[in-house]
Amino acid sequence: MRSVRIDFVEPKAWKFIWAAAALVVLVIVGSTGGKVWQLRQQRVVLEQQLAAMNAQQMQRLAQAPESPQDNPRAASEAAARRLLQRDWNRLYDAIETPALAKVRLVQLTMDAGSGQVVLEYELESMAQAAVVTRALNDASGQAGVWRLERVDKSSQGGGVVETDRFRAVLQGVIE
Amino acid sequence: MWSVWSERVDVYLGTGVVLVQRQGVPLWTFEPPATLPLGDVLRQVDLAQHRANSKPWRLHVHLSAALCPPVTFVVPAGVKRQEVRAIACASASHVWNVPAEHAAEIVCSLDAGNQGLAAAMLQSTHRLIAQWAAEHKGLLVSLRPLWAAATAAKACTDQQVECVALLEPDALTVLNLSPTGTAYTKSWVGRYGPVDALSSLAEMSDQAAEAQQSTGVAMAFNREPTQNVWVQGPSAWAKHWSVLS
Repeated sequence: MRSVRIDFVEPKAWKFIWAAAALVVLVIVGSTGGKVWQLRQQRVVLEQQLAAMNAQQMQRLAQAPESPQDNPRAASEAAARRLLQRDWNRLYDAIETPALAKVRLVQLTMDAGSGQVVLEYELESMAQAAVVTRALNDASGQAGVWRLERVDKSSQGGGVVETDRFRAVLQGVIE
Repeated sequence: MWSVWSERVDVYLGTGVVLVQRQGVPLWTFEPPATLPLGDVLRQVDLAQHRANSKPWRLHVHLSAALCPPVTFVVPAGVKRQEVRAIACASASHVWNVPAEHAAEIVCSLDAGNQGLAAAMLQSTHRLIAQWAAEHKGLLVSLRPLWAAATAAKACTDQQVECVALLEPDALTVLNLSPTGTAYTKSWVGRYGPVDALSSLAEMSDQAAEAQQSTGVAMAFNREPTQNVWVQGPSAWAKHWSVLS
């Protein structure tokens, strides 16, 4: 026989059970939400810290570029960049100017790294040295690029007719 | 409002008999005149137990079949629960000799396990008990007929047992609940002695024997607690049960 379950009072146990279940669900949802919020906050803080660090790094790099000793690779890159940026056409324009057609260029020495160029011209007279210097500076479009270092006098012929020859050495910097 | 400081109080209410069992206090038996209105009876209980000065009561009330008899009815297929309650109340109006149009004066509680079985009590009785329980910050935890509690006895949980006879101080009740869900109940109000009850049951079983063979348990609810507790008996008012023989 099945027992008779009759009660004129509604059982309150179910209400307690449902309330407890709802409470448990609320606690779980709350704790999970709290955890998620906490993680989100941590992420935001970390992202902010990362952004600040990146900004600091960028600022530091902008303010104090690395010295070549510190980073050989960067130094090599910088040197290559400088080489590529140097305009050698200015040198060729200068030495190929028609004003210098009467003098003979004997030697051209250039240092690609520093941009130092040394020209040696063979002159017929001492006075031509000033003409060559002016012509080079005029061709460069800028006064003071070329500077006369020295003029050497040498005798050529070795025979009956002996003529004097001069050699002018000029120095300039190509940028 | 329920409180941890409240006290559990078991009350058995019948016509002409009231039992009050409080924790740590001997059983209090009260036998008012059967004609005394229920409200006065309950007031007497309050006065005798000094309820106004005691902790709030958590009341577990059991009613005798004289106040809350069983009702059986047929439930047509496809009927909703609210309609089943209305059918139960209409059937209960016959038991209480109330005109069917006044079925609203009867409160029914349906059984969850056995379809077509309900307990019915008068609305006025239900209201009186509920108001009385709520007095002095009390709480009515349960309000059940004793015959429903009796079916929870170990002796009745056997599958083969289909019939339970219960003799109370003021009523004799027979419950015949078959596993198929059909139920037959009958309750007689009156002060039966064990001999009268057994003879009535014997007559009834003779009539029923022609229709079907069913095993049953007959038990008696006594006012005074017995020395030897019936182990197979119901857990509610455990000391008051005995086998009817």
